[in-house]
Amino acid sequence: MKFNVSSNDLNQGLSAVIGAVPTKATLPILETILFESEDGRLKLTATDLEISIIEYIDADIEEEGSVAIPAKRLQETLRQLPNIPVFFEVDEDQNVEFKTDKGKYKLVGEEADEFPEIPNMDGGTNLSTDTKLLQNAIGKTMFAVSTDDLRPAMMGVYFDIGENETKFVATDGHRLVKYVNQNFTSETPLSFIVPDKALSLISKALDDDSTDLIVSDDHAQFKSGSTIVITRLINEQYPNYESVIPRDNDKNLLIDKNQMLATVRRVSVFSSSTTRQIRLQLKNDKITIRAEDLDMSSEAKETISCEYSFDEMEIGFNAKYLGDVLSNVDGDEAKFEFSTPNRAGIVKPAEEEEGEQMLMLVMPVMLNSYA
Amino acid sequence: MEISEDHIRKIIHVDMDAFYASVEQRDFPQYRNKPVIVGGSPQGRGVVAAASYEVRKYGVHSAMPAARAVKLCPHAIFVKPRFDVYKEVSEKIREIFFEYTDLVEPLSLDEAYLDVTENHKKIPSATLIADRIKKQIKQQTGLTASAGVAFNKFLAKIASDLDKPDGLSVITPDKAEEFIEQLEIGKFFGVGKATQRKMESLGIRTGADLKEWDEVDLVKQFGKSGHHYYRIVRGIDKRRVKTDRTRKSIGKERTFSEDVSDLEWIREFLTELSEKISQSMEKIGAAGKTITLKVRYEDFETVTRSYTLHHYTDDANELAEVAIRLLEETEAGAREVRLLGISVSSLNLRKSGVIGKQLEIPFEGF
Repeated sequence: MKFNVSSNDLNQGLSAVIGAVPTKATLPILETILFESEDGRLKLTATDLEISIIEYIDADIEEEGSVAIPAKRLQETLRQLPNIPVFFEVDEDQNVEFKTDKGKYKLVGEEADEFPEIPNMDGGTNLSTDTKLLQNAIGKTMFAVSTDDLRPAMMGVYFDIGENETKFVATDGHRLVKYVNQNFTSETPLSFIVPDKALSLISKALDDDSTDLIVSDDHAQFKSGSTIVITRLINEQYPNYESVIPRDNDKNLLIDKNQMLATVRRVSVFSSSTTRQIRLQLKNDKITIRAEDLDMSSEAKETISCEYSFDEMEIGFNAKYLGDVLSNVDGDEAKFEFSTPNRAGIVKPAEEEEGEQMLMLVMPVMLNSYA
Repeated sequence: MEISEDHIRKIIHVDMDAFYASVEQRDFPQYRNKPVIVGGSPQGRGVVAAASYEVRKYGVHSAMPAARAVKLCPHAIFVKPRFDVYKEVSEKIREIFFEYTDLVEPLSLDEAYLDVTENHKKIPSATLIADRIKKQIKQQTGLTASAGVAFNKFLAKIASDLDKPDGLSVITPDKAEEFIEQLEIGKFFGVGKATQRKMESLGIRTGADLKEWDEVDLVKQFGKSGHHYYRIVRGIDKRRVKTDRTRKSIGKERTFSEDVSDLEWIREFLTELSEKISQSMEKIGAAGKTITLKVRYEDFETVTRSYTLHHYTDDANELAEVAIRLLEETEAGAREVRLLGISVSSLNLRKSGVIGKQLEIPFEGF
């Protein structure tokens, strides 16, 4: 195999796929990147067996072939090069030699046949969507994904693609986010769970305006421009999230999001570092947020104005959960919907783009034994 | 009375009645109903460490020189203190406190503050808790205690002294104002003998007198402490109950009426013991990592063997499994055993009780 490539193009290609190279590989072959010539271009592939990323780059192929090259060493060498042409030559024994006008580098690759097979997506359902929409949906939901191995279904974002709208849902059992977008639909409804590591790679890697999806029983492929990400899906039943979203939360509160977020962050500094518990006291267009740490004898309290005209109430939250939710609200105003101090609170943006709906649910922390 | 709800806690002050003397009367029936003085010898320069109620009638009180005490009550029985015993009893009492709350501040072997605002048993009434604690102390140690219940430490401590011995007094926020007004100035927290004299010279004899003073004037007279007097007479005492020791372990042990060597029986016993420990752990919402097996052989030699898990557990089966494994590292069976115990340490008390608990989304089947 012989090819000429610009160091910049190759560098970009490597950084697009390197996210799939496991940091601690169980198999040495996974620490390599597969180089293949395909239709006059160079195809790079990396995989950790769960997620595979493929990137096509322009190259001048002088002799067809394929080889698996150790990822880290190659990337570190190339990263230090200015943008100059690099000439690669691979012999039958997988010895890789690459030359620039600066010098000559040699390392040993692996046979391409050793590289794991990438899932074949033939026969899957084809869909297409706007890349920005997808990235936005991922960004809005990923924070709530669970890291609890005992609840594998929750370790990814649930895509529920329907004829009229798509729902993106994530939860860790303490908070839940449901983002609905009507600009992404499918004639054949389908739903699947994408692991969160794949989502962050997808979000980073997709580089064209639109993204084509292929979904099979076990895998989903996201293709945008010259990049393809294929991920194994989480083969679990997603929890029935609609049934846990309260419909009768009638105590509404309207508040300046940024002001509240700043208050929550300041006050939470004084909360117990283990529970991060803060208390929200709602009364007559005012909200008082307090925290205390009995062990450290520290406490804090701030009062800010809001729109609230219902019965006085006090509700506790983990400051981190509340902060995560608030910072995920678009626009300047957030709307809270409460019922009782021991039931889920709902947070939404006060105003939304047409065709989009965002709903977040946060479970409180018990402040008293309200039976 | 203006007491901001920020400061309303439910505090219990528990004070053992004539502690050392009562322990002696408990252990030595011949001292019962007799004037007993625990402390140094009356011939030397010793002082009274504790005086039974019988001898207090003669004006004897603790910290008094023993020589003076003997003059007041010549027929008093002098007993040397046995601090080991008092400590043991004190430990037992503290274990009772910890059943209700982690916020226990011991002041000495026989006195402690408890913050039961949020308690493990979810009992809303601090008075009820105080009553139960008193009963448990009586039951488990044979001794009486007096308890004071109030919304801060200052009043709780005063309350425990109102109805001694074996008393239980409550000062509720609505009664506090009246109560503080009639209180002698010397009883206020932070008012020592010298301050008392100075206050009396200024005409301050009761809480009501003190309350008439402006904060500025009090500070002029008493310096920084003036701020404190101004607040305390208004029932404001923000001092928290500070625990110097959080509960470190939960365990149970038993001495057998006959020494045992049957390993099968021992394993069964350890399984049952684990079950009991697991239940106590569940009760207070604790989980632990380190499991320790204690074995006392028939010749009183005692060994312990520990194992630390990678995770927190309160599971009976897991405790039993580890304990039985640890048993193999002892000579139990080959040697006769008179006592067996299991304790769990490296506790995580974070999930204590319901208060402060992060609620879960009620997903079906998850």
